[in-house]
Amino acid sequence: MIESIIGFGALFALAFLGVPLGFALLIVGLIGFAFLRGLTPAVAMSGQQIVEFSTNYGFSVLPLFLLMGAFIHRAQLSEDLYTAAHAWLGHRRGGLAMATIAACGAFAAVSGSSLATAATMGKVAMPPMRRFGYADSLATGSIAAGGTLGILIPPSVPLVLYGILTETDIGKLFIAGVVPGLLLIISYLGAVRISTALHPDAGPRAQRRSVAARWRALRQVWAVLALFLLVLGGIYFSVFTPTEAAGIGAVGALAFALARRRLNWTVFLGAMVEAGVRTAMIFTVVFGAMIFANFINLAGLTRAAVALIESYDLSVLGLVFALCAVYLVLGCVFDSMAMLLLTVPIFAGILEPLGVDLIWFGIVTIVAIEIGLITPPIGMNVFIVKTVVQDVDLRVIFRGVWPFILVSIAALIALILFPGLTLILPALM
Amino acid sequence: MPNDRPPTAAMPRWLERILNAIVALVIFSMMALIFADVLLRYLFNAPIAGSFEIVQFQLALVIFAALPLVSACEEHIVVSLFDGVFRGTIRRIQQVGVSLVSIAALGLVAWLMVLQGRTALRYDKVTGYLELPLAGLDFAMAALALVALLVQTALLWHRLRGRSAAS
Repeated sequence: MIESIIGFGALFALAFLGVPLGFALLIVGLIGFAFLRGLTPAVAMSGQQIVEFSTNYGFSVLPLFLLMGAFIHRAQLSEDLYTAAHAWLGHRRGGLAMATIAACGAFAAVSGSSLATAATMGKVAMPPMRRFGYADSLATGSIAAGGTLGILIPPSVPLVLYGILTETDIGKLFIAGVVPGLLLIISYLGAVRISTALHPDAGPRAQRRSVAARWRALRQVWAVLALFLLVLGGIYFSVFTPTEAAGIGAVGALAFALARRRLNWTVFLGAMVEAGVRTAMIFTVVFGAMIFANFINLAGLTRAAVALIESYDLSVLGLVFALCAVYLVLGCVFDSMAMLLLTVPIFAGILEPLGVDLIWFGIVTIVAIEIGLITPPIGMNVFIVKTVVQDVDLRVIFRGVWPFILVSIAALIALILFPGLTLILPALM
Repeated sequence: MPNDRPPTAAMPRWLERILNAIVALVIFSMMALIFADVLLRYLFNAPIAGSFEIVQFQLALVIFAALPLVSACEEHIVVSLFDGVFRGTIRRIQQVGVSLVSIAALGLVAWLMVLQGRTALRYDKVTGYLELPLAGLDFAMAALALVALLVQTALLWHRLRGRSAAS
């Protein structure tokens, strides 16, 4: 027990001093394990973990989805997505902010990254909202919040990562994310409605488009929807595994970028190298996180925590609420990826013996982390929006995201109280 | 081969190009192999035998061939809580310390992979179907980790001479 506390102390000291998280986890985990069991077993365990995780067929889903995202990003379809959403929603009050949310959701359906979603959609959605006289707070808030959809709506990189860390079925995780993703989109649309009901000047109506114009706009982006349905439908009906779905998704995204004539040799190569580099970045931390988790398990922290929870007769529900509160607080200051990699192996180790469904907890975790992306003082998505729209003050953006934070906390509570929302689709697979 | 990634002074151009080429080639072939496998399975009922094992090797190669590129652009995931807290001399000491720990960690990874490779060699470990030698993969991973170590050392060298490598 005392060893785990020293271990965490050493880990945080190294990480906060700026040592890359993966390296800090690896060093502390290996030394801690060696301290408890001797150097030879520690070295054998660590080496095996690295080899096992880098040669696991199922984990190749990660580079392939990253590749899909890299191609999609370079296909520059954000403009067309926004135009389509604009045509359908723009005439409502706050309709352009709603269009931003919808376009973010659509972009998220083929890209797994929140930051990429916020950055690309920010560039496209901000100018029209300005032109129609939208309040800066509502405009930027909807972009920052819409961006968070990227990590929940499959294919999602954090969900893949959660699946790798907890060894849960990645396909089921994806399917489980669909209903909560829709719930969040609807909540965000509701937040826009409420904001504009309170401040009607914040989001004036745009012109109504003709039905023909709407369908024309939608025709530009149907392939995105088709790709999403192919990937997710294939997983749902067990036509292919998540890894195969990712491979097909990447080929589809490549074809898409080629058809739109957005690829030259440099861009093509850049997409592949970017996916590889991201893979290496993430796996470095995954190796470290697993080695560190092995040390923590050996030191008895997990068992002690489970015993403590059982002795106090804490309800599982109360525990999950408490863990989500931890995520919300940590999310204010921590990077989401780092938080996920650091906490998930340990939390899952505590929750699994207590009989918690790890698929459900995964979705709950991702939503909690997603909220962390937009809460002050460190909301990564808010910073991204700030870099895209430089003349808007950070405080204005944070003021704009408040309604979205409130509705997403409500959605989070609903997901915790009603596990059926998450588990119904995977149960039908 | 030029691409749209940030430039770095931490490794020679030719090395960067070779690593880029390896990463791109392996990830592309992984995508193509999986796609072809699914297509052949459904259209001709003839999946590619052993594709499973090839993908396993490809994954390890992508991760480790990209590792030096991550180090070169200092893109490792960090918990940037105290960014900008350290200034002046203290910041330099912190950066040098971080570099030294990173070099040690990469050395550790390379050494672990060498040990894994030696064990695999001793027991003549191969994959189940294609009988690909696991020792070869382990040693390749060790070698690439070593390249990342050298890159990290070059970064430290630039830093000690007071230049930013990521320019």
